[in-house]
Amino acid sequence: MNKLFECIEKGLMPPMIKISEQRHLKAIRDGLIASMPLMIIGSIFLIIAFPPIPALAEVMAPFIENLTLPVHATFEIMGLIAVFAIAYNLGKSYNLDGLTSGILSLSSFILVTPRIEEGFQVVYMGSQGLFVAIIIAIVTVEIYRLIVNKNLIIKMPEGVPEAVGRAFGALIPGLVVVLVFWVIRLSLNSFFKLSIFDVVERVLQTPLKQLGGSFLGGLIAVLLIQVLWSAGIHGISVVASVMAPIWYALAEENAAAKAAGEVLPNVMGQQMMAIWIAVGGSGMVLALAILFVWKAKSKHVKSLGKMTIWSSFFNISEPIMFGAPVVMNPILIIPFILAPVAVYVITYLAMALNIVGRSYAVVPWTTPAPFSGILTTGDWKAGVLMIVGILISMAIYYPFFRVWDNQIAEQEVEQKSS
Amino acid sequence: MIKVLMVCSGGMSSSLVVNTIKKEAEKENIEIDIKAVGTGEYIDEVKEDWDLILVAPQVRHRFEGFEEQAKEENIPIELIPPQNYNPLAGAKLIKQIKKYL
Repeated sequence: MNKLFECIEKGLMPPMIKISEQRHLKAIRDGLIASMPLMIIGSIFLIIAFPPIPALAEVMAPFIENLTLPVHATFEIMGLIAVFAIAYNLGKSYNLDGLTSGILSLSSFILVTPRIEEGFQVVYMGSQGLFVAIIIAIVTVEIYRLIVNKNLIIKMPEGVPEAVGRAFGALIPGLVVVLVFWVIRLSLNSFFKLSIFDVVERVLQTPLKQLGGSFLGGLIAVLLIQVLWSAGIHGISVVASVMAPIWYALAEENAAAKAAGEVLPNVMGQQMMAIWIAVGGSGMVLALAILFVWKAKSKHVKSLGKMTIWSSFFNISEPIMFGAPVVMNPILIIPFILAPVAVYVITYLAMALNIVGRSYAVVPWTTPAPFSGILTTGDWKAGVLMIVGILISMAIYYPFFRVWDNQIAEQEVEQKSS
Repeated sequence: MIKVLMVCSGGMSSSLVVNTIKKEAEKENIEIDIKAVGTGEYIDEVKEDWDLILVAPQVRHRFEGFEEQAKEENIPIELIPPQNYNPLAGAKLIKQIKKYL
């Protein structure tokens, strides 16, 4: 077992750490997190427009159009928010001006967006434009950085107000960026009759979404999260540094489909990873916390359970992870990995077979179960599914918990007698 | 009075540990001003006037980055040992902080 932890620590962790510390991926992740409050706000309106109770849903039906207006202004501008926020974060990480990075990228994004009669094609402002947004934010900031490094910016003498200096500082980088994307847009359009969105969708977005949104893609993500957490590393934040754009795009597609009254296309998405497989925090730890309070014989485990079960209700698992500890614990690690995998498989099947509704609303990850399940899907059956998930997890944890708790209880007796 | 900044993934779990530390500090009559932040807020918070930065074990893979910025601001930075990162370990947590009093 110790060898396994050593393997994780030395073999798996360094590359994972490199990935999660990688500057651009970090900027993407932080940029996407910036749109989180908007998605939660949009979700509130989605939940009100499509309440989980059928009788109430009928009452709401005539107001759906007005109630989903905020959905268009939150979920469906995810790409627009992302292009600004990612560039802002990336710029700041290079010690460049964040605001300038953001507005230059925003302008580039609009520049490459296909036009229709009276404006832009709004559809690209949402998740459909998310990957283009990421690319544009990165390219824009890199060009900006290159020009600043080569000292090609117009510098104002000292004493000029900062805002004025900033405006002039942005001039040359902005011009270059606009020229680059203008040329790209025109050449793609005139030679291939394509927009940058078509290219990115075919080459990048669709394959990645199919990979990350598949059953297997989700399963691998769950396993990686659990293995990292086993070594005491915040698994989901590491895995999300690569997967977040895909998970968020899948969630947005479902929200947009819900607002439009269409069938929800995706089973996987942000909610599967942040809510469904992490009741009580990564590893379905609420199930373990319940066992601590209910079944523990040792004093340590019992008192830890009583102290931590409340935070587990709100899906904060660290007190148990490090308090028990579960981290680096050769006995508890096994169910810690198995339980979320089981819950993932069951949840995936139940949603794929349309036994319970799929997730469309985004709720804060601290929302307690089973409300989190009901709210994300707008289906009371999802609440039942979530409780079933907790019960199954308890069953998986129990035999391992028993062995470990007995060990601790024995140690306590020994300590007392000595 | 010692001012401590604590960083974890989202600022949630560390705020629980912060409560433990505050309680323990009261018991030992130590004046402490301690704040929990997530990794995203760290870059701005580190510029404030802190006497010590503590990093939660689950984000230890980002310690080097945090350390770099802390050094720029001349603030000592330490990792919380995994076994101390829980509400039962108040005394040990305070001990780690006491070194900087």
